[in-house]
Amino acid sequence: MTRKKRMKIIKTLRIITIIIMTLMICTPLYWVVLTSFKPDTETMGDGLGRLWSDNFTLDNYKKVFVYNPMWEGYLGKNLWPAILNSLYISGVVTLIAVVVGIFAAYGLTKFPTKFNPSVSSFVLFAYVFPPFILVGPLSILLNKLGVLDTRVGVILAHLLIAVPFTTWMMRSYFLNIPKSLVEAGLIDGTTKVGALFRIVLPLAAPGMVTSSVFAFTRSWADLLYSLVIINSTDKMTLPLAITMMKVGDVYQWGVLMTAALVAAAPPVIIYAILQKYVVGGMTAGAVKS
Amino acid sequence: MLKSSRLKTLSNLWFVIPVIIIIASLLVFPLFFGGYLSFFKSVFRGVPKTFQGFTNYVKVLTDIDFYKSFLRTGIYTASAIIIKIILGILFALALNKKFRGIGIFRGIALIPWSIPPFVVALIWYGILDWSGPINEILHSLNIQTVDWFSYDTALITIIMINIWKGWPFFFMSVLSGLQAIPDQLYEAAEIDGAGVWKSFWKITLPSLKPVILTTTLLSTIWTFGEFETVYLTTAGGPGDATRTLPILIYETAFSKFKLPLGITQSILILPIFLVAIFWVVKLMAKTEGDL
Repeated sequence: MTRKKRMKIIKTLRIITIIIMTLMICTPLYWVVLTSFKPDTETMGDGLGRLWSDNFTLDNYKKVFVYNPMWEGYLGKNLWPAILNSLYISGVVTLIAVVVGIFAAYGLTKFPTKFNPSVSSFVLFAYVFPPFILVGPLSILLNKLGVLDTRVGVILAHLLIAVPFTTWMMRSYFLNIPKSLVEAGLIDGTTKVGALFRIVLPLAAPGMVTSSVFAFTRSWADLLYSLVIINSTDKMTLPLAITMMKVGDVYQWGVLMTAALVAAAPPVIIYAILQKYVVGGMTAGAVKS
Repeated sequence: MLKSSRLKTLSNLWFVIPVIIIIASLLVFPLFFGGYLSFFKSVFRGVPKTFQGFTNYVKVLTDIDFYKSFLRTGIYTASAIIIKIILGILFALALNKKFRGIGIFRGIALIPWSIPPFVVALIWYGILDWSGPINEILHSLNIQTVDWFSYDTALITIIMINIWKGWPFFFMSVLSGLQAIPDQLYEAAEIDGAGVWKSFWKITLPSLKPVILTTTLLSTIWTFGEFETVYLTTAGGPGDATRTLPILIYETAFSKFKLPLGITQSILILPIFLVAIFWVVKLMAKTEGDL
């Protein structure tokens, strides 16, 4: 076999692989989007699997955002309260996690002490630790603190997920900023905190964006801790509210898939826009850049 | 002199104190508190009631369902991980070489990973519904339709869902690993007469080994602890067909209201996690250089 011929075969295989990958991802998503525009008559029973519809409608979106009579009494009028709860919780979690992460990463990378290696390992340990292990004791502690069934309770639990992550990620961004820059600033009379804001942060802007995105989406996506902490309808997060929609034997598939899309949209859109940073950030520490 | 260096250490530590406090109070303390609670019979309004020594430990260790669940989670994790590695490498190789529009495909590859796990679960629950699109397609091709959530199929189904969501993690790591391999290595191999297949086994795979090891360990820890995709599709059923450890622990603690027993179950699987966690922490610390 000539080299040219071999290269041609490889190119063909490459294209086939890419097509398979694209189909594997896009076909399910196509069906979800399609279902969100189908009327109820086509999603109850046999019409559910059809890959086309003749009666596109916005009914499901109206039910999610305006009024769904089926939810009256147990989920409320629409999903807005849950969306706002989730935005609030994930927003606060992101803010705290990024601020804490920035300070910790600054200390860890620019001001070495003999404790730094242990602290770094400690943070990494917490980042890798699977949160479900702690769901029992943490729920009891939150109960003791009187924050069970409150948004503060969920925020505290989500800090466990977000803070080690942002710290570790900011740390790998800060490592690329030369220590001498900070030292020069300190000699010029800037305070340590001043050097952080004036010298380090402007250089680490992509890192801040990436860790904010990760903190936000991790909190936004968590179901387990809201499930354990929240009971009241008015405090439900979006994942919890959507989970509650899946009750009984006959699902409102149209509404369910619309709600699923609404929950998936923020992270998918943000990651699509910030693709370049995300890939670097997600493999931070796992892969040398 | 000694005093001033101590002071300096202290002032440098200020920056890391918040993160230490947060991890200590939300992770370390709950962990030990959980250990304490595991010796009690029940917990009422945050207060443990009736100390009973190692009863919970005996109960869990003599419970055949615990071992079955353990084994099931092992099968779930191992098979999902193996296929995720293969798909990750395959798709990364396909998207390694630059061409026009490559950004779009790399972006598409990120989508499954960026969708929240509970949404992935719901989507697939619909797609694999008895009257969902997959069965519709099978039906139109005159193939026997499948009950994807029956006792015999449910475990395979949740493994497939986990794979669909999880392979991009390997894809991204492998892709950055591939890009770190210098082209000269391949050129040299070509001069030596090595074919594509041989360069893959002799150059590509060995160079990717550290990346794949770290990613596999991380993914193993997280797949083992995966709650959402199972909970929102089968919730552990039918029967016990998909009752993985996170589901078992959740059920014991929050559906059967036996919190200390559920906590004991999590404590008993902790050592395995710890081995994996310490291993990966060591590996990642090494790649990162000066800790």
